[in-house]
Amino acid sequence: MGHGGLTRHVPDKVDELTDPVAQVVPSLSLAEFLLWVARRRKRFKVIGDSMYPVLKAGEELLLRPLSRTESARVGDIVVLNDPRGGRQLVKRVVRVEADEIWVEGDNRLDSTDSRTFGAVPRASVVGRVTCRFG
Amino acid sequence: MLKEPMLSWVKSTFPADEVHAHCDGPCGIYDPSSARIAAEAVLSMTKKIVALYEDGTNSLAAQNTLSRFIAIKEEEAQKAKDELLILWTDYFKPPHVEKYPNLHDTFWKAAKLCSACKVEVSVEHAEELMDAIKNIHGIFWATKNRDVAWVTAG
Repeated sequence: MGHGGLTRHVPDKVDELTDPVAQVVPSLSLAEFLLWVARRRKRFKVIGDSMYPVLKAGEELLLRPLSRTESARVGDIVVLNDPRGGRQLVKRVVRVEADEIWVEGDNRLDSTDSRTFGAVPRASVVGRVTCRFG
Repeated sequence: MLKEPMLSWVKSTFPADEVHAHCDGPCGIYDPSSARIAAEAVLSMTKKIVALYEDGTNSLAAQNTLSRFIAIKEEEAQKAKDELLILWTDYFKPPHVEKYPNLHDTFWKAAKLCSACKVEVSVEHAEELMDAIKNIHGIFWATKNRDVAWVTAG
């Protein structure tokens, strides 16, 4: 398999999201741990099952905040501000448009996402998940 | 390995912010007790039908009572089945099936028992249905990490 982890592998079509290799979220490496210590990564805990089986409830993740010029890419698992306010969501990017992205939970039967609230502004993406904290 | 204890220390000492992989449920209120109440009614009606039959059902009054008992038994058996299907298809999620591999089979058999109780007059099947719901009660509350006692109204 020539694919790297989530951080390097960018699926170019949504079909590829069903490929388990594309879904893998790597476990914590020393480099990622040190980046977290240096405050270049944010740590989050997953609540809920909409990203099951890739992310399980209670699991912790590291997130790389996106710079202003950077956009999320199709296949990324991202943390975004809920367009309806209040909390932050973790979902997968399914489409990227000019100013907006479309996000869905992997567990489509148990997810509230762009199918309900529509595309979200790119600016609402907080960052990309790089690995598990564990 | 030092990694695991160190990470769990970090997790418990510095709680992370939460991100929601969430789903808007309509109300999120589930309880197997509604299936249990319906199944208890089925068991009670089944026993009453058997007793009435043994006393003789020749009189008009007895025929009327028998018809009413049968109607209630069928209605409650359907209600029990509906309640079980709601738990099965709405409450239980893939992680639960992972933890309880017999979950689908348990619900399938319990739903079949509801049908059997509706069609037949079988005290045995009605008691089996109660046992099946008691089992589901145990699984349900275990998924919520709660120890809820099994109580019956009858």
